Amino acid sequence: MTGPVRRAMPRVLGFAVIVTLWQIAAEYGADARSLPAPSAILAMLASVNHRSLFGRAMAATLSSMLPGYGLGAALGIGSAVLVLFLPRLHRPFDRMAAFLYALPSVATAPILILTFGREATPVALAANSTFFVIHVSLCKAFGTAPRAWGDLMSVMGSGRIRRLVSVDLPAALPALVNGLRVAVPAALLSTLVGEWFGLPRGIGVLVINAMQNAQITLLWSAVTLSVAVSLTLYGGWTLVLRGISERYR
Amino acid sequence: MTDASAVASPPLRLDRVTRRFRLRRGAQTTALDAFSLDMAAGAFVAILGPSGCGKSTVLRLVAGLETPDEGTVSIGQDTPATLARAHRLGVAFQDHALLPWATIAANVALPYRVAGRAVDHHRISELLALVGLKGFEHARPRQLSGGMRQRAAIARALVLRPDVLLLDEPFGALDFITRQQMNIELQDIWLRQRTTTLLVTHDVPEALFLADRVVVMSGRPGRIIHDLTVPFSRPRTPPLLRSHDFHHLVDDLTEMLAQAHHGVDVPSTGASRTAGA
Repeated sequence: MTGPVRRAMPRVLGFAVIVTLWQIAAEYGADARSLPAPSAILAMLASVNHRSLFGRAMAATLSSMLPGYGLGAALGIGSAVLVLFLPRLHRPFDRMAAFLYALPSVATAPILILTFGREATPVALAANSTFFVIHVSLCKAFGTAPRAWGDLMSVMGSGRIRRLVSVDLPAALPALVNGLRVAVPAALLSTLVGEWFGLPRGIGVLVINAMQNAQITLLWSAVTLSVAVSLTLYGGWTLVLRGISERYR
Repeated sequence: MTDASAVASPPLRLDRVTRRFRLRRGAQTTALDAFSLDMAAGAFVAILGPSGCGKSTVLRLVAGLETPDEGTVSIGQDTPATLARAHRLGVAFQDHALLPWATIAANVALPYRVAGRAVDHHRISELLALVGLKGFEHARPRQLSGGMRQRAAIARALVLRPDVLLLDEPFGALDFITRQQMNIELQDIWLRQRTTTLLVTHDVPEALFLADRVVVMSGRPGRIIHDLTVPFSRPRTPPLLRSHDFHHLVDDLTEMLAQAHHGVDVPSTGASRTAGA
């Protein structure tokens, strides 16, 4: 255990130093209304009064984000497999994915609301940002698999589906997990933006309300909570990736 | 079992095969020009040649990975593609092409899964024992040495008792001693099955030790410059490698290879500019 602990030390220390400086700055320097102390944020997150507020908001956000994330991942896998089977689609699909990803969600959200409705807009935005990451990761992984595997499968008389199941998909598994990991912050951010357009509850709603009412500690608490959730999901995928990458060397 | 497989293994024939590759826009190179080779059923033929002489193209044509621009490739009454679809070809490349996430046993079982047949675990453990990998069933490729990986690749090539075995420099990345050991083992395995085998190599002693017939190629376009029936009886043993006759033949073939190599290095007149496909 000493190895990982020793390697984590600089990060932990760095984090501690920043939080300490922040605490000192909030207490003695800056205006408490614009920069709440970390201790105040943690106190609010832990307080009995606010716990259910944050809990309900996060539950609402996750209930938009996770379906969107799942849908985007499924579409990304589907389109990457389609491109693998029909290489002619590679360029048009890459361009389409990049175009969709490049659209600013603040600008597209009103259109999405008119098309899909308010409830579905955060889901659609989360799906869009996840789709791009998964599509690109998988296309790259499919493209870099050793040629000898394809040759081998051909000589063995493998059909395309069998090759997909036995070689292409297992070979792309680390890239898929890494894509799912990278897509977490983007999907959560897209969900928050989607929630700004008139949803009844969610972390995004909490953030915008807190800002408009100058509830600075509430604002910082909501943001801290969403970062914590994002990092937790990211860290979970990191553990999965570490677990499987041993088998891929 | 040995006799039955010998009868089942078909002859192999390349009949005036021409294969061209496009290089740049309009330019192309002729890898093989009216190349013919006949292999008897159950024969072990080695193709010897410098790199770039088209010997790998011959193997890829027989494997159905390439199709001839002119001429025909046939295995018995079938085309290579038909045989591949019937899961009757076995192949091992210089790149062992083992799947790193799968165990050795799972890698050797892959041809069963591709063929949609029930995995014969008894056959797999028997074959792994034959190639000296007993006890490594649950190891992953990266835990094995280079030689062990190639043994696993050869076990995978043999597991469905193929009609034709294709070996593209399977020991090319191994050191000299390991390579010699692998050749001795491969001969032992081959003597039990007598599968029609085509070996592509640039290693002269390897070709002479393993094959009934050594075909020397020169490029480009690839053509046969020498066709030798190997005079040594089987089973061949390590002392043969040190015998005068063996050395004499190695020297002859090496000399031929050196000349063939010279031919490859000179920019070929076979590559010509053509208008369109």
